[in-house]
Amino acid sequence: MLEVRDLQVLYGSIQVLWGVSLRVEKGEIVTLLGPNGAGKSTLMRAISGLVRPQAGTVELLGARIDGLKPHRIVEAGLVQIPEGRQIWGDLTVQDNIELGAFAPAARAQLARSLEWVYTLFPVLVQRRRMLASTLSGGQQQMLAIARGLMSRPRLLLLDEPSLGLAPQIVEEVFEILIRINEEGIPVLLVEQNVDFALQIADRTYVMENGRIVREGTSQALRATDEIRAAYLGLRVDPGS
Amino acid sequence: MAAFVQILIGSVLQGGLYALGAFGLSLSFGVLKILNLSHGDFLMLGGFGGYFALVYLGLNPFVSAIVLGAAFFLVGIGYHQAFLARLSHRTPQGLLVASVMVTLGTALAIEDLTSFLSGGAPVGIPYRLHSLTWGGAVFPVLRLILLAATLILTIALYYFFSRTFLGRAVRASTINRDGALLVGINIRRIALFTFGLGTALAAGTGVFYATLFTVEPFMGLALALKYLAVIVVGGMGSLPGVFVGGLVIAAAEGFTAYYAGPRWSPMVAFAILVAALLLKPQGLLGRE
Repeated sequence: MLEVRDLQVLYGSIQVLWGVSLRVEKGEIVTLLGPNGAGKSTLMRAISGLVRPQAGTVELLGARIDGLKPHRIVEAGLVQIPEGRQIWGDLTVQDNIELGAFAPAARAQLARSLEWVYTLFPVLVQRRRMLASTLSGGQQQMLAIARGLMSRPRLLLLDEPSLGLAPQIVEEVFEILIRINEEGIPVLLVEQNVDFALQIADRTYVMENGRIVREGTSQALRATDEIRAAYLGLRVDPGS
Repeated sequence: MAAFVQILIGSVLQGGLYALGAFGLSLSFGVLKILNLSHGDFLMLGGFGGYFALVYLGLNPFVSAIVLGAAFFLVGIGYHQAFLARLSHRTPQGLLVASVMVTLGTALAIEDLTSFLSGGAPVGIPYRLHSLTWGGAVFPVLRLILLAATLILTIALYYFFSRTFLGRAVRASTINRDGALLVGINIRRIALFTFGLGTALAAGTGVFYATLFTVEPFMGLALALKYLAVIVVGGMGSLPGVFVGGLVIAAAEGFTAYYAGPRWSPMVAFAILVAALLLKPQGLLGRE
């Protein structure tokens, strides 16, 4: 589905990604964990075409997408819900959602897509005439996801959807992610909220200093003490 | 009282013209993050174009405003492609500085060239209609028609920016560029279109301007600075703010000219610009 091979990204003379490889298979939820500054967001930006990689390839459904303009990558079927949501506060909720279908192919299915996302996010229906900036944090995150879905993606990238949200709201957002995944859309999820991420992801990658340092099924990674200590904040019993 | 009403009517018309003229400057600043100092020169060129179209072709200024608007839409796109698009990869500050340099150079070149080719004298489009008098106030019909045209254009722009996909995408790109890129909005096409639209509006407004006043080759830079005052007062990047800013500046100029003398009115816009930057830098309708 998505295959990233040996991706290298430099900002000026500073290398941020050192040969990152990862893949997302059909139907999967994959999560990417790691401390701040590990290069997770850079990797997401490189996959979406906002940052040009110096070396390496990105393939979506078997076709190269690295080097394409961001809007071509969206048209190819990959959409990213960015960190901090990046919604348009001065536009109405409905405007935000409709503009998610800007690509010609997506615009042709506008009415059907609207119905779909309003079913997924009923909370947005009665707020559709309001300015997006008046929504709560959780609603803004849902709006960002709804807007992204309007392009009818084949693969969904999410960068820190839980950022700044109360645990109860995070749970709500993650439940919707599971529903979207069940409709056949694979998800690549960058998260700080390790506990939640490991619960819903099939497989997990751990990134440090611009490299993938560990990968495996989420279940296996949950069991390792190292991950528990480093990211879950759980005390590892030295005796065991 | 009659004088007050007269000045107010004049200010609404003048303010509408300021807003239409400044609109492109606001768009290119908001969407493209460039400060286009040559913007006023496109208005000047529109005015000259309208003058020559009437004198040599007998073209009614309302017709030439539309024709020149369409022509300058393409000129704006070509200008952006040739000189400005290549700057877009710079950092925001670098882009601002580079765009000031490039557009300042273009402005000077356009002004010298126009002066050389036209002989340098100010021209006004010699197109007049009679006036109506009602309740002691004089309503020049030409001004009323221009006012109506300005209002219709304003409503059309409002419709465009709030209802159409393209117009809303332009606003979205102004508010959050990354958000726009990531949902598949082709920012490069939006940028070209935006610049073309701003240039077209400047040139079309120039025809109206030359019908009411005169245009001369070296007016462009001063006009660009006045438009900067208009968009700063209204709020950078706020499209309704452009109209508020235009009205505020035009009214201030009109009343200053009447009560303090016409020689004081050219400095009013800059006094307001400085005051706005000191007191309310986000503008009347702008956001932080």
